[in-house]
Amino acid sequence: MASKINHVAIMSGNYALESKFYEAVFGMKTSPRSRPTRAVSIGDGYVGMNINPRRAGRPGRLDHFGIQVDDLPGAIAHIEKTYSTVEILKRPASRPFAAVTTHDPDGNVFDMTQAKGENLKDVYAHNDWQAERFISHIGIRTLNPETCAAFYMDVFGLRPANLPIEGAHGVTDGRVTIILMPWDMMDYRGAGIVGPGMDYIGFKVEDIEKVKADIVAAGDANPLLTPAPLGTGPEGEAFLALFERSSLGTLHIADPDGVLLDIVA
Amino acid sequence: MTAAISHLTILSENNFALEHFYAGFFHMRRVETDGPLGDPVLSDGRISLVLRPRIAGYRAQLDQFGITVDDLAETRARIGKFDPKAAWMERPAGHVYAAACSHDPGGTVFALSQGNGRAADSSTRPPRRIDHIAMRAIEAERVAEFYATVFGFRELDRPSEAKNFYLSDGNITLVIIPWRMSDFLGTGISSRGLDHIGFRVESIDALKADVAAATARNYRFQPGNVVVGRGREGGTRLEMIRRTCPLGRYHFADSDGLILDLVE
Repeated sequence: MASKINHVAIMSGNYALESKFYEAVFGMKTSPRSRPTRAVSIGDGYVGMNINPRRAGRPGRLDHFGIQVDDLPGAIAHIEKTYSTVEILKRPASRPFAAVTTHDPDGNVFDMTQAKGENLKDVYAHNDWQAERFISHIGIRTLNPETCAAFYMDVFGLRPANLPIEGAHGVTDGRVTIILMPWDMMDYRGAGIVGPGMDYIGFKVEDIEKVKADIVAAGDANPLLTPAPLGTGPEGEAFLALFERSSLGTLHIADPDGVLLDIVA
Repeated sequence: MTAAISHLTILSENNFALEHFYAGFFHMRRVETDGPLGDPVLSDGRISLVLRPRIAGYRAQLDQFGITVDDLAETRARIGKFDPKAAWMERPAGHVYAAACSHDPGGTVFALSQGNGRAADSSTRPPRRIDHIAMRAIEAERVAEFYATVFGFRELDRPSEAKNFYLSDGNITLVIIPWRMSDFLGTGISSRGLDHIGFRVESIDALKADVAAATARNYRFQPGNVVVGRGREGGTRLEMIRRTCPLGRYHFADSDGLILDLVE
């Protein structure tokens, strides 16, 4: 089955501001047919990023991802037949990407949609251009990474990816890789503890130094676009060290909300 | 061994604004620990509410709860016996509310501190106080068994057809709701983990009047984006909360959007 990992979603109390950050620093673009009352959808030509307004009852966080398949009914049937504990939920028509939402055996939630499906809206219907800077991987900390990796390979035909991260299992569609890392509370020694779930977004860029310059320029032009500080104080240093050894990039920053970004050249 | 839930921690986009929210509407009082620039720590007289800023890499949410025990070594042994894979982490001496941290079988993290481990007696029950905390767990029965076995929390009768588990430390109730994605039909899907706080108040109408009066003076106390039940998906979410945690009689949210359900 042909599959594309081509959706990520953030819940934010500053969703419009967050969008401007990704546009300014990574050159992501909105759709010409964006809907002003809805979540912001921006894209890099392959992955669409939804930045959803945080509503009552929802945490502010990097929330979920999505996979596009060429045979949605077949994928649903395979999950229902093979994974008895996994639920599949049809989504409201207002969603620009998700036709259904499901989860892996550990409960990591993700959306699924049909390639060229009628439900696709906003940037998901106009996301076929080449970007110099694009989303290349997402990091997830989970209780049973090996089991989850096997799930994604079985259901979606994703291929294993060798990664230089201890204990991690990668699955890739050839462009975007899901990095499934073991959630181990002891990794957070010296820092605050984050529970299992989505951890970071990875970007591949043409030049790290240019990205650094663009980050400074964006903040100079609009201080609200300044990244949340990372690595400050003893606990921040411990947290940053964990992030660095759990990721692929050479530049580690956070967006203005604090979502972690792992940047690789 | 005795054990009691002693604090909750919220990671907030604006923890100082949240301090005024809980102080104003629930009469919680600041427990000074680190001066005016330190993280606000409030108390209802029995349970502390730690309001920490969300920093990079963390999630804005009800993040953690804490349990005071009379014997940390015994607690560690019980956790290890129940779940050999569970981690145990000693915390630096500067952590006022955590001598150690561990987690339940679902990965929900809790802090542990040494104390007498006894729940507050009934003579110290302020009119507005924390009544319950709710979490959603994939293996709810096993998670409930963990808290009952390790901490001796007593399982209460189930007040509805909901397949929840209700555990009491003698003071507040830990509600463990099975995490089922189908519960979120028609609304946004939340992951497993801590979900909401329940408050007991002397009068829901009195609290509503307090909120209305404060909001009339300063609308930022309850901005429109966190009104519970607003819009079609918000209405569906409210119905879901009522259905899956039937303890609450009235639902609203703090200024960050954390759901609070109220009982009289």
